[in-house]
Amino acid sequence: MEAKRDRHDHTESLWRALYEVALHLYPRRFQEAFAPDMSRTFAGKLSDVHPAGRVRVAAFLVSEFAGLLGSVVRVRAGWTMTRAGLPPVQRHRRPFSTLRRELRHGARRLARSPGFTIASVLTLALGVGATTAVYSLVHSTVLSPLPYPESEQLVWLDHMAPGLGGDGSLGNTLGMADGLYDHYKDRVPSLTDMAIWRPAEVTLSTDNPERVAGVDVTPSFFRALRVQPVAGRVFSDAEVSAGAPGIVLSYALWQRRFGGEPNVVGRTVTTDGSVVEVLGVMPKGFGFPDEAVEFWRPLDVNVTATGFGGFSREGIARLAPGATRESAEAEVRAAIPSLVDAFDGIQTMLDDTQLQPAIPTLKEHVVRDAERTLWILLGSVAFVLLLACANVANLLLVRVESRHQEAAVREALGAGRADIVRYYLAEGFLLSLGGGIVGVALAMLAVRVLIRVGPQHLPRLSELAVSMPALGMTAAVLFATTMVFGLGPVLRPTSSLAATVKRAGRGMHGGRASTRVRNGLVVAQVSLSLVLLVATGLMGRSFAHLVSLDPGFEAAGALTFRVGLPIARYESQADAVSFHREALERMSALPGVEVVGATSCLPLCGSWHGTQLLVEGRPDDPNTVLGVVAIRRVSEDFFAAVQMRLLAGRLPTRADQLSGSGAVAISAALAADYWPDEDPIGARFDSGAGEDNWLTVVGVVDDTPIRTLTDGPPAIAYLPLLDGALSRVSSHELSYVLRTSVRPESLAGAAREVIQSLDPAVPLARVATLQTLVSQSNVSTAFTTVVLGIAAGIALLLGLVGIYGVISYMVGRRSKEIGIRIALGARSGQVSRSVLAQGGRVTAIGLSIGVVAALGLTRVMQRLLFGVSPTDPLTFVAVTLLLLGFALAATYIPARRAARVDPAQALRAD
Amino acid sequence: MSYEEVPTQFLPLGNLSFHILLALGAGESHGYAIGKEIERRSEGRLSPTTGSLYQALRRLGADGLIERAPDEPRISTDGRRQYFRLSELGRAVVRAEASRLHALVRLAAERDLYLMPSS
Repeated sequence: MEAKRDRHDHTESLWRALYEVALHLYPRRFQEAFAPDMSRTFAGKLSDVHPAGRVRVAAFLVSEFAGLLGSVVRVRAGWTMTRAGLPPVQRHRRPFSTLRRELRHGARRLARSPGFTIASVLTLALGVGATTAVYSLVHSTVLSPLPYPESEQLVWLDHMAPGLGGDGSLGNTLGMADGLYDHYKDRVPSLTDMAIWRPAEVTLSTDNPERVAGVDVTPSFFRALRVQPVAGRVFSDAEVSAGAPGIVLSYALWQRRFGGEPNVVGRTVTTDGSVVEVLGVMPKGFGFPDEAVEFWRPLDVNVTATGFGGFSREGIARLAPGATRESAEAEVRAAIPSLVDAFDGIQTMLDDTQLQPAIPTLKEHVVRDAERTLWILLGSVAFVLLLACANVANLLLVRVESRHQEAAVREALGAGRADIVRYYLAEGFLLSLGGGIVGVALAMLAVRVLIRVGPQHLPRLSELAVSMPALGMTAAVLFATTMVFGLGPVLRPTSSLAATVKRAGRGMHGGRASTRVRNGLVVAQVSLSLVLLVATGLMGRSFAHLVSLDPGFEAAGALTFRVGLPIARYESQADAVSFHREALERMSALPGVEVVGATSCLPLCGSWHGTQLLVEGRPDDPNTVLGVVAIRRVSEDFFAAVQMRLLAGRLPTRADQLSGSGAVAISAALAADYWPDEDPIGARFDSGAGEDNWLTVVGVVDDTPIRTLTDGPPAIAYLPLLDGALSRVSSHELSYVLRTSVRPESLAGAAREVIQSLDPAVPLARVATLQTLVSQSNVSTAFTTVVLGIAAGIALLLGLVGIYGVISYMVGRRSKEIGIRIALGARSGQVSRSVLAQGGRVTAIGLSIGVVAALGLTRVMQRLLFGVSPTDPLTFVAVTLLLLGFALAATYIPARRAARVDPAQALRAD
Repeated sequence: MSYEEVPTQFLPLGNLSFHILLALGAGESHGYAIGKEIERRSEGRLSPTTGSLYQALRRLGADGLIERAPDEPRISTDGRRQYFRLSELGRAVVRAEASRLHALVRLAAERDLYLMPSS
């Protein structure tokens, strides 16, 4: 009793939630005035009607939702604004009241066959909901413009280096440099408001310190994006050239650290130990270059003082009126050779890199490879929509035909064609309405879930909202299907009164033509399901490959976090390193910690920061251009902490590090790249900057990925924390790795205490387990697999319902014939075999079409797949067999029923 | 009531509107109770959905026939319900509608189409 009461409460709150979702259809002002009250009233009425039984509840729900939709239309159309008196409807009362009566009767008929109603409404809702949700995702990510004024003029400034083997794919571009920015400013008329920036991380304030990420930007940055601060101002060109410090806060940072106080502008904050003035606050939601950015500081480009600088900047610009990306690229290409005149020693760089501009639109850059994934997902849910249409069409065909008799009687009693049409229309209308409403709720729910669980690097996820045009489109498609298949049989010219009554009287519903339509629909369903299942199977296998991939280190059982030291107080590398050494020492003494290491950049950190190496005794041969090597600084225990395997030689020791012997380890890929035919152990190299501080290779370690597990093995050199010639790679900010014998997360607090005891103003940042970092790098494949899996699951379900429905309908229709056969001595086995054969034939045709379609369509997935070919035979065979098995099972149930037909009953039942 | 708001300009009242105003004639009430009252009085013949009920309430409010009752603590399980009451104009409109109907009924009686109950 108690449990039943609970379930009842649960269902009621579910319906109430749905009703509240539907209330969003009203104009905002109406919602504000009445929505909470209406929801309460609805809930009250629902509990009142509940004791009257399920049919009454269903009728109540249908009329409430239909009534809501009707009044939405009227409120939105402004009919209620006519002053008092008669609403215009009342004058034409008759047709409306007839229609209303038909709707009421239709609702009662639907309430009497809840199985059919629920199946249709759910099918329609799944179609509308899934398609709308994924279309909304594609819309907000790929189709809708970026949230900046005239954003189509914004371009990303980048450079490729074909000379270094960079193919221009993500991560292999060079970006921008101060020198290029300065050089292009006056030489590229196609680009206005060119802006560059570099990432920055600072420790904010001394009490309760926090590490926050931001960027240092040229003042043109805000002009290019055309954004204005909500409070205060941004820095001016004059201020920046004068070197005046200042900081602009993000809205989120302002809310979090300053409680949204309006007088924050003009106050000072401490960043990395130095005091700066807060100049302004950017609008809510503004986060460029990415959403994690929480502040903007001035970046002064002064090439007379600093020279060309490294390729460590990113850049954007706005196209001048009339200019195109192509014209901008041509002008940049033309400006590159004259760099030689502007900067000393730039010729070598130009020769090495063969520098080329790459200027995609900002949106192309932001959306990148997500676009293809999203289109594939959209394609897959479009299949679901088609399947839903086919299924509803099938359900309706069966229903309409079984109602022929009633319609014929009505016609015989004098009902006109229009009345018959209205009779069928009412049901179709109510079904689409129900499906539409539940579908909207599903879409809204799905969008909320997507925002919550979607991969964080899926671009522009925070802008996601249900797309109204998409909702309208899918709803219209399903509505049209319902109407066409609901009315089709009535509108057929052959359905004359006499013929209908005759057929209806004999209980022979539907002719050869409608059988063919139904079989065609099942074939379509089976083939669509097959394509979706194959796509899912391929993604699933890719994901399995990805997860089983050896990353070159042990992800489980390690805690990581970043510790950044302010340069203002730890001026030299040596100061920073002695702090880190002390911290590492204390942490290794913590209970539960096995070994502690530190590195400037963890595996999967995404930074290719590095240089080309100059190998001792090897002449500088211009014909053999060697790749850029990523540089990491590591403590001696780093390799043990991440459990990286040693392949040759030995690992650098603590003695090496302290004595400054310059002993380094290199990755296997680096060994293969620079020493393809020789033993790298003992070889010496330096960064080529002429610092004459040679490093010696003492060991080769396993490859570890830089960005994703699927990238090829990168060339990495592991330098000691201190010195080692490459002073440009700082040791101020290091990632710590704690290999633990206990749950890694449990040590975060103790680690924080260690850092605080050494310097209370230094915070821990990006605390995460190493396992989390690995999972995050797989998340987009996982996401695609899950969405495709859901689509395929729905497809499988709908396909099976379709097969089952059609075969059982066929058995029902043939029951008299089967009865005669059994009466004449047919065995039950023969009967069920013939039914199975019938289902098998339809399935087989569907499967063959599906396999051919899948072979053609999975090709577009090539780039999403990993370690599996788009025509992977195993996946194809397994999916085909799976679907065949399910289809035969769905046929088997009606086949058994056929075998049990009682001949006497079947012959009498007319 | 400003002077240009003549009660008769709202006549004849829609069926649902009239019932809502009648229900509020008994004192201020909230949406759910108004709906119940209408259903009870019409013996189930008129049972507005929540949507049409609130649409009508909004229209009557916009026309100035009803108004929101001021919030005050009430003895109720759910104190946040919104209460409505008749405005002066609304009261005048119900009266005008009732006397219009009364005149019609009297006309029907004079022509022997209806037997007036002896008062």
